[in-house]
Amino acid sequence: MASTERRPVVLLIENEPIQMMVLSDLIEEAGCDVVEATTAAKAIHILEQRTDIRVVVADLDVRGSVMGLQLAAMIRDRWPPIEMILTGAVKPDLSSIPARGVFHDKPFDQGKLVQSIRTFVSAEH
Amino acid sequence: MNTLIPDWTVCQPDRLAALDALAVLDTAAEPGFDDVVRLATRLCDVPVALVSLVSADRQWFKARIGFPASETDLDRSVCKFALSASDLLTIPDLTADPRTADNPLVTGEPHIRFYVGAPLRLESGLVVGSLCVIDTVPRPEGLTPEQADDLRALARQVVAQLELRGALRTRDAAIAAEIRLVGDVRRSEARYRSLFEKLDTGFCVIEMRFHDAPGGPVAADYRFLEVNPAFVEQTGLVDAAGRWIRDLAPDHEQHWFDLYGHVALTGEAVRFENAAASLDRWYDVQAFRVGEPEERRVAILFNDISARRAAEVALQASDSRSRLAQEAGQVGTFELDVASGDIVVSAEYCRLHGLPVAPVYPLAVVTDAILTEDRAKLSTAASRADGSAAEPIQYRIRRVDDGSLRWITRQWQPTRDEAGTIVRWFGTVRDVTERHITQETLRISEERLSLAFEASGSLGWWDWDIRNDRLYAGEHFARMYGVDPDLAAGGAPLDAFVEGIHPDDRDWVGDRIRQAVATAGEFAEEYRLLASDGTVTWIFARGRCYHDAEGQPLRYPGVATDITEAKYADLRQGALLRLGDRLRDLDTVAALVQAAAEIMAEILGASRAGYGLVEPLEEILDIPTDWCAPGVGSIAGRHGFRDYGSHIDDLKRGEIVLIDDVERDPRSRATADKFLAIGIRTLINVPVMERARLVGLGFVHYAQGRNFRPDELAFVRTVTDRVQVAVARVQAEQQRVLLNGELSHRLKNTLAMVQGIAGQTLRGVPDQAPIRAFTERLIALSRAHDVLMQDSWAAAPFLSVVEKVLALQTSLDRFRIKGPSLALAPQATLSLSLLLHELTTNAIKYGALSVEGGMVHVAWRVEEGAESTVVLEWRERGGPPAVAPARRGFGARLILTGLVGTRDTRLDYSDTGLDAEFRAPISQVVAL
Repeated sequence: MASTERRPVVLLIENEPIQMMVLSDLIEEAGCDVVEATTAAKAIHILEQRTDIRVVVADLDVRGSVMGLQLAAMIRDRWPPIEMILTGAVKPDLSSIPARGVFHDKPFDQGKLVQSIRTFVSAEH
Repeated sequence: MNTLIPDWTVCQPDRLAALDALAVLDTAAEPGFDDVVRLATRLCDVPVALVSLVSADRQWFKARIGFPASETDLDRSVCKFALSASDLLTIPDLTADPRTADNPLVTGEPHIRFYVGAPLRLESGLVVGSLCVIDTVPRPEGLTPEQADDLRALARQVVAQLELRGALRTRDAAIAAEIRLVGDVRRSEARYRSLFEKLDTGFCVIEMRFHDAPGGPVAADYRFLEVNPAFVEQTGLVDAAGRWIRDLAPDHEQHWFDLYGHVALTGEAVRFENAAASLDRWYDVQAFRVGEPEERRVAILFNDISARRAAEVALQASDSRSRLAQEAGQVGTFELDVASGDIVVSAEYCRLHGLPVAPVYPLAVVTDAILTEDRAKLSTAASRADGSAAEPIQYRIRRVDDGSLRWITRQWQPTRDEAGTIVRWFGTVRDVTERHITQETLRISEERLSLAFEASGSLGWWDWDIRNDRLYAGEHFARMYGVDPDLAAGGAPLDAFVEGIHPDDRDWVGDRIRQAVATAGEFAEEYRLLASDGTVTWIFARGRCYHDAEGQPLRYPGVATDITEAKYADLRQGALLRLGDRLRDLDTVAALVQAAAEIMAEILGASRAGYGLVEPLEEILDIPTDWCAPGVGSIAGRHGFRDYGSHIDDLKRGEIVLIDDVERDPRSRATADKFLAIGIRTLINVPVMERARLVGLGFVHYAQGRNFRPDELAFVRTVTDRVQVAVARVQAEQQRVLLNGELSHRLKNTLAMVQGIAGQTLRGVPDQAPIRAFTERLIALSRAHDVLMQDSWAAAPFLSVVEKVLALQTSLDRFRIKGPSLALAPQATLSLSLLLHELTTNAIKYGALSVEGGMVHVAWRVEEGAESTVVLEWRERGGPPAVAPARRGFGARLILTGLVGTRDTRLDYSDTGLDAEFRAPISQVVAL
């Protein structure tokens, strides 16, 4: 389990404000700090600046210069240790999800999503 | 001597015929000829003189002096060399001449050495033999000029005598001719008898019996006078000759009697296809009257076509759907005002007739488009006034805009005023051309067949005299093989006929002929003939070779029928079936048209075929890939249309472009070189339209010029129409998949938002359990949509829905699932999902799934009945005793509502666990 003084950091990529609120709450419920990005470009910028991000939760439906799965593949490529939890309305082809990635389709079972985040952060500490 | 090879001069048919006509061979000696040879020996001072007549296989002496035999074979003949001499043939020393040095008469007895022959040239110029003088010592100096003159004079005498004999014989010409005629009839009867026996088409001659009725004689029965062996095979009727059909087949339909009765009474030949249910077969029948009218005899040729009918029915079934789809969009409506004669028409009506879209036309404008010969079917002012015009009719029109021939059916009904007078007719018109194409093709082939039949009896026959290489053939056969019928009547060498066989088939057919000759075997093959104008004819030829007593090939007679129509009809039908299958399986426009082009190329024997995408603005054709015959180069790539003439204008109007010869067609004449450079002389271009815009193009190319028969064009049009329908289907399908994807995406995003809003709104509520229940129900609903999505919202498999929903909350190991495969309607999918979700939730909380080892049995079945019912069972086992819930929450109410809201729900809370049963009418559950 994570240490009490320093909580794991999760980057949340979501452009829909209500979903952003729900997901932020769930990530905190899982015992993590949330960094929010509304576009893929902003997310990449954050990843380039910060080194403490352990998990990315990304909505594949986010529009931006780099779209959904491409963004996921790029993160896996540039920051291999970062774990990924992906959400979306339509389930993508499973083989296109990066290794170790987990997919939750909308509307998601909140308990299972929280469980996924916990699994990832506890495995690393 | 090399006389083993038959000498053309000797065997020249005209010469032999002329010799025959003299009728002199093997006749008794006559003083006139004897005198001539006696004079010849004296004048030329030789021991031997002969009047020698050379036939195909011997020389026979009408008169001889100093020579023992009355005839010799051709190996011993020197006279045969005189046949081709323009004047005297002189051989001073026979031992020194290569033609005669080996002659047995030279090398052995009587050791002849010197020969002079004067050709016996008839008035017609044909040489039948020679008057020759022979010595047993060489004469290097030959005859003196006087002797030579005398010999010529004597030869003229012989000719005069021969022709005189002929003239005398004409006295008896009448008698002789009659005798010959009898012989001919007998020969030709024998020939037809052998055809009759060998024909694999059923053949019979019947005699009709009528009984009198008020409206005239009615066919009552018929009796078989003659039947051939194929008749037995095709009908299964054994020993039919001499018997009445009513006795043989009591259930034989009356229509057969009526048809044959009609033929017997009117002498009108008929051809038709009909079923004989009593024999359980379909027949293609030709019937015509034979003999004297009062004999009431009918000859019938027929083929069992049950197999072909079955194929046609299969084709219709495969095709009826697309045809209906096509026709559905082609109904025009109209309203005819009786008083004014004006007709108010829909836009579709105008389009069907090729008229500019307008609300009203005078009736005359519309009827102008109708073919003159069909106008008799139309209503008249009188029949419209009294209502007798109400029958639906079919007629042909020439479209006003493009002149194309279309079949239209019209149905209408009158509207009456209060007084009962008809004031208006309201009706619909529909284009049914597609349906008529096959019938039309059939009619054309019927006409062709009946013409052929009248001209020659529809069968070509031949009789090959192998030893003399004379193939005697009927007119029909000769014409099929491109041989002059007059020549064929007198016999022509086999090679003349072999020339007519298609080069691709010539070798193997030749092998088969040689095989039949060698083995005295049968020949029965289908092969192609190629006429000088490039027309290909399919032939079925059947014959047999006969050997003589010594086992030498003697004769080879047979019959041939033109099976082109049937062959191509079969090929086309097969091709259309295959096309139907492929069009169903393919899902891109390019693949569809490529498949169609290949099938057209195969059936129409093209050198190249394929599909191209059209970029309409730049007028560019982009060909991704094409099919090429061996040795033909590909033209894949981009091509500017305008570089190849102006036919794109026709394509843009959606018309099929057919250019017989690029050098002659006005659209391509100027750019013919461009076409010829890429191996195109003849081409078919088939436009693919999308919303009235040219988007693609199927093409078929020929390196050689080619003419198309009407049935081939009908085939091209049929293929094109099917491709258009298939293209429309693919486009609609793509559109639907796109829309469904987008719809599902939005729906699930919306559900996620609802979930989010509910979560945020109710954050502060201490009891979060109801919020979780809400969320779970939302997810169950969403999963139902997922399952529906897989089949594009039309239907979902029962099993997938059950598994997907049950797996949401717990492992599928806890369930025993069983039921037939059923496709759920969308409404039922949503209902079933929510119901199963509630049942599972309860089972986990209070029932069998709340303890280790508990199980749930889920089963469904269909109960047959007046209205069949779907029954869903839910049985929990291995858990605590079931207790009815004290409070009626949303979940409990959902369960009671049952499947698709029928409330036909039975709940049994027993000690072993919950037993639930839900019933709903199948019509509400299963997708149609």
